[in-house]
Amino acid sequence: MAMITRSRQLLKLMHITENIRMLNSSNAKMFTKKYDVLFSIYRRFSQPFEGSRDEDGNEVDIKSITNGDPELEHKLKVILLEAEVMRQEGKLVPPNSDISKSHWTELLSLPSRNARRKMYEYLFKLSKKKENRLTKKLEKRQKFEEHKQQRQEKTDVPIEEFAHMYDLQHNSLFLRIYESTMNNLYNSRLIQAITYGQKLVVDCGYDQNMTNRENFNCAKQLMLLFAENRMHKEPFDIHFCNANPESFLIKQLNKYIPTMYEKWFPLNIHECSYLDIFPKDQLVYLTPHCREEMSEFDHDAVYIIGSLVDKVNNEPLSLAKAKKEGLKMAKLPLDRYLQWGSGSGKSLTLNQVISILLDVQLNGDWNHALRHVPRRKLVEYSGEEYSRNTSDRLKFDKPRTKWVPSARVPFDSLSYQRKSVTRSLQGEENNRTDFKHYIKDSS
Amino acid sequence: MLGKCIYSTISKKCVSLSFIQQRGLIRPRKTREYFDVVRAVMDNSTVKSLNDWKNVRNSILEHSYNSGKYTKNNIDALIINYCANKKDCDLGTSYLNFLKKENIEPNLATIGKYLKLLYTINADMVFKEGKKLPVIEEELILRYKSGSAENIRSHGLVHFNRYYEDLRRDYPVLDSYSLENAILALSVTSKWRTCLDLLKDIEATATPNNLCYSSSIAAAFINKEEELGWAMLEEMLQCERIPNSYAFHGYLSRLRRHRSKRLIIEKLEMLFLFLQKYDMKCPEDVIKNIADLADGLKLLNIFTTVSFKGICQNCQSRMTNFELTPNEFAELKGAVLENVIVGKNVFSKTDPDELERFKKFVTNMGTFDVVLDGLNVAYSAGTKNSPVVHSGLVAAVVSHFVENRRRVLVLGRKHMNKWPKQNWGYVNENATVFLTQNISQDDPYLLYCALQSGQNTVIVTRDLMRSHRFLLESPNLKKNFNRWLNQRQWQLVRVDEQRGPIFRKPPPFTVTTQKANGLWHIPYEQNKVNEKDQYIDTWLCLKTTQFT
Repeated sequence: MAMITRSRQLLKLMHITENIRMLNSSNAKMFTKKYDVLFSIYRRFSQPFEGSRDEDGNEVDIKSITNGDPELEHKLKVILLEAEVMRQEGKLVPPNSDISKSHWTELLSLPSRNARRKMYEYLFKLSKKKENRLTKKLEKRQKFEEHKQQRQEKTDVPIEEFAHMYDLQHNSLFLRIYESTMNNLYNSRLIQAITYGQKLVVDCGYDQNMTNRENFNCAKQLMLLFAENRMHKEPFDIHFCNANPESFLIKQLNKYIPTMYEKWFPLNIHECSYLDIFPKDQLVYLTPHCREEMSEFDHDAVYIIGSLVDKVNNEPLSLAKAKKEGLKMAKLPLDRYLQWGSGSGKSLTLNQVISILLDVQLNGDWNHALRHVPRRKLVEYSGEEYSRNTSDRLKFDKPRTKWVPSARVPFDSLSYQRKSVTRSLQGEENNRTDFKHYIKDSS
Repeated sequence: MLGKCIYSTISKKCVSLSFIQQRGLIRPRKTREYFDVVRAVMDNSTVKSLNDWKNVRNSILEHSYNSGKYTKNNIDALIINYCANKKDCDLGTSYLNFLKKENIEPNLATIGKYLKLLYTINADMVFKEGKKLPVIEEELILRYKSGSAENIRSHGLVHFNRYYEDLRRDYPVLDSYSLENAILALSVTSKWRTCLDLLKDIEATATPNNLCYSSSIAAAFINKEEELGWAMLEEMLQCERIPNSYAFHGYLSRLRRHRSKRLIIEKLEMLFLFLQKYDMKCPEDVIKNIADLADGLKLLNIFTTVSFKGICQNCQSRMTNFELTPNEFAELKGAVLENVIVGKNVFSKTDPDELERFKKFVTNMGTFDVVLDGLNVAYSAGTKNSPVVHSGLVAAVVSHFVENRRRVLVLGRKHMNKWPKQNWGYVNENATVFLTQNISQDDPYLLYCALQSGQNTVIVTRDLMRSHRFLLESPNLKKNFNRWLNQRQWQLVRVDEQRGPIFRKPPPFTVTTQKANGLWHIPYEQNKVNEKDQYIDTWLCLKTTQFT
């Protein structure tokens, strides 16, 4: 205690001496300047800082996010201030207006500062994307307005000319097909699949094992899985099992498919396990961690896909579950048919898996079905093999070296010399020069 | 037909061209995103008067590469941050003066960065050289002697402390970034004690970073609070934060102020024991500081190397091997079973039946000299060889040990039973074999068997077991696991036709700070990055017992 009072006295003394020194010092002016700055800083530090407001004055509703829990409220205030400071430090943080209430609750539950930083970064990119989309939309609208004006100039066209115009809003051979019509078509296929199609189970029971973001991605993939399935020529009859309607995953899926729970909607959602619906000996769990490769597609089996996005932990959860329940297991023959590149893992999204299964059940050709595996994960094929594996991809996707008939080829005698001619042409490998010749000739 | 061909080829070319053009457009944009405009502008401009700042500020904001990343909201903090990285206080101060002149209130981040700037220019002086003047008397004396910027800074910080108290009373909420910067600035002043409270505040939302902890620890040491400093070091390690060199510099500068040589040596040995206890690697600048201190005390110290066999090239003494105590060993074994084999879900690595079978096996297995990771050895030449090669490799390694009259245990999976009879039969006859199911993991069992078999058992695998170490969770267990594995793991390099299997064996001693033959030996890392976790052969050999 004595020590403290002494230091306070000394502090006072110091101030006095300081002032004297300032008067004496030659660069007193400079000194006061610096002193002023520092002084203002500390005053600023002690001023109220409204963390709940950002630079544009967007306010965050602290009370409704925390439900009046004082501890959470304190934490939220700190996090709000932290976001503001990060913004001021030039880190990627979106304005508060782009962080929704649910985002704040998620931020509150994140375990570390780094996790929050990553979340901010993600939200920042999202908000920039939105911004860019908006500007693009405005640009488009402006262009359309201009276009409209130009078109309006040509309003008094004679009826004959108008009828000859082949265009939207003019004369057309076809009726417009509405989205609802398409939907009805696709849904009718699904309804047919319910009676005649093969059953397929999607195990939605992993929501506890995934982080919020993974759950979010998983819900999106489930939506894509459903869409991919109903677009196919011969869809599966899909059963979502272990789907707890209270879980974040299913709630999110419901946001993507609002009519999910309607009675007429061709999707089976069960809260119970697949064990209660299907006979155990028919079930086959598809898990990448097991050893048995699925060599042939079994049309009597009920395959189970685990709806699992494992970005964070790669524990063999589906393997453990299948083992525990004593089910048969199988994995896709990814290594047998594909040459994997180093680096990116062998994980596939749910929609890719269903696309593969759909194709393989249709024609049993793994080479064909496995074209849904992203090409970036594979070692590049030589042109020929590549094109064979991807026979029904869009034409410009494949770097196929095509045989181009040259002007010098004796077309008339091709029928008996075919073998030797093609061989010699390939040997020469001057198709391109021939081709140039041809252009020259024609011009 | 031909016409169609041409058309398709040309359109294909067009597609690829436009594609390349697109790519070409995207690339510079990407580099622009990561381009540090502040640094580029600041490096190329000199600030002589406050008005120059206006130009600098504008040229950053209006830079062609600035696509919205630099705004009026964050530019101040970024400029001050640049000054902090350059350790240029006058530059930073003049910028704040400029802001004042322009009537721009510096925001919280700017203040934080300025505090960090004040810290960076003082930290070396305070912690390393121990010159600092946290005691007010000393500060007063210095003020009379010279009127440079140094005084103003410390003057400012004193004010900060006073205002800080008001701040805490009025606004209990501060974010972790500002708190960290405040801790750094406070740690070099006499009010360093507030750092402790601030560290607690940070813990509400984040874990304090290495620098904060280290600076607070250094401050504690310098201000004669050694016990507190040590306690904080332990606390920091529990949070898996690694102290940086300032913490040690602080301790050493404190030692320099002791008068008694005996006391200094005693305390120095405390530091060595700490390094030894936590297997801490000493940074190069700290080891130089230690050598310097030893020079001052006229203690014999020489930078030397210790051979792989553990002989100091300077004093020829032999390094010792630190065995785990039976208690630590038992604890490690328990943790491997609990965390690694069973974990959250027994089924993810094995299943209950198999675990029971394993437990029964373990109770009757006795001790082995060698525990072999069968599949790791088999696949050491690549997985794409024939089963003959796989089984041949295992058989060769087993025969090597059997000829030396060692008892061998081989762990593997059941599919190994399908290997060619000749080689696999030899392994089965000459070694004990435990096979897990094909879908179970054999590594955790391998670890447990090796631990169960006793302290002297050698474990043969090339796997560094990092994923299993991670599952142990507690830092202390991880350290013990590392120590054990580093002593006992042999890695198969290749199988030579004439010489048989060749192993990479660990050094016969523990690479950590230790006293050998009455001399202290401290390994240190040179500043280059030790990527492959190679053997460290740079040591300091220090004699502390010269005068007793």
